[in-house]
Amino acid sequence: MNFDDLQQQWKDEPSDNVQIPSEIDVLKKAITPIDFVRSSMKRDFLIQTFLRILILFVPVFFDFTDSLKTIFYTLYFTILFFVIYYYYKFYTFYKNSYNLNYNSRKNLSWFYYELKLNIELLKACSFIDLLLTGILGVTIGWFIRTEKQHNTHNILNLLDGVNPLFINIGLAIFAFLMFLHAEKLPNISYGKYLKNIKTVLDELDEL
Amino acid sequence: MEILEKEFLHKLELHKGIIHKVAKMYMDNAEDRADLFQEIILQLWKAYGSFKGESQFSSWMYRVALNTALIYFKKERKKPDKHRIEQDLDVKDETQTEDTESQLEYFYEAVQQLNAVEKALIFLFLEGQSHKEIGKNLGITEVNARVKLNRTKDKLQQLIKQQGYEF
Repeated sequence: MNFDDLQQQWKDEPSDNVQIPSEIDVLKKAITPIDFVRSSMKRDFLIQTFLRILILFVPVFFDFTDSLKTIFYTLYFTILFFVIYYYYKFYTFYKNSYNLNYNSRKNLSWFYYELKLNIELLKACSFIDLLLTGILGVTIGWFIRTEKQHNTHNILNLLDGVNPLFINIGLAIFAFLMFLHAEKLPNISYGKYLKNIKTVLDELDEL
Repeated sequence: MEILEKEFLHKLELHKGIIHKVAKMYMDNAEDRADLFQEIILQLWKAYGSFKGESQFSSWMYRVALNTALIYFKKERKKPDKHRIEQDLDVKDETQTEDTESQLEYFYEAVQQLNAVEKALIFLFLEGQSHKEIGKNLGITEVNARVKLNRTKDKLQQLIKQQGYEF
């Protein structure tokens, strides 16, 4: 056998037994890394939007004082500003559907750099979110403490009698978990796809 | 939409061998092959709206099919499908009875050891594309396509020889 023989046999290979579906709807959902990333970003967006709407009603649920409500909503909408910016960027990425008509390098490069950028944006957004949520938490705690005498239905009453050391350890663990969430989760969720595409791009570059 | 879908499926029927061959080159077991085969059809359908007819349908198919295969991730399966494996072995026994088909089987077996880009190069070469066309499809220069293809052919030849087949 040589390559000419192989080429001929390749050409002659029968495809009569290959079945094409009679309609597209019978096929399962697409699962390329691009589709997977897009659908998980969409899922994250929906979950986060739901949670953010829920958080909006925290002052109502816990009967915040007017001054506390002002601080809460100021910080809440500051966070929202950054989050909306990220969602706008994500939406642009989501809508600019990849184009498999491009040549392989162009297609892969586009997705690789867009995904990389979105991962970094997601991290930046999570850190801003984390920082402002921390400030919000401390401010609320401080206000509740100072206004506690005037409000006997305060949520912080729950912590009465708890050793402050445990509260601080709890807060430190929470902050660390939030840091891991912001820094590591995007890499865990999307890193393997990024790596896979980078490998193919490197193989194209090798000479 | 229905007319467009029928038109698409009709064109696909005429060139289904391309998808079958890409899936066979990129996946080494029947289950993964079936998944990739289906994935390529879906991606072709999703991209069909942007097919302007400036190039041949088959040329456009090469590009979309290969781009899909290059980024495709095998599904993680918890345990192998025993029934599927038995089916595979049966198919292989049947095909090995005919010499021509067995030569191609050696080729398909060896090709599994190539990386994703090398598979694309060999596929386009076997489809009769020139170095220029291969370069254009993959987004690399003609010279790069030639150098890579020659290396890949050497590698493939060695792999087939290692299987004990004269090449």
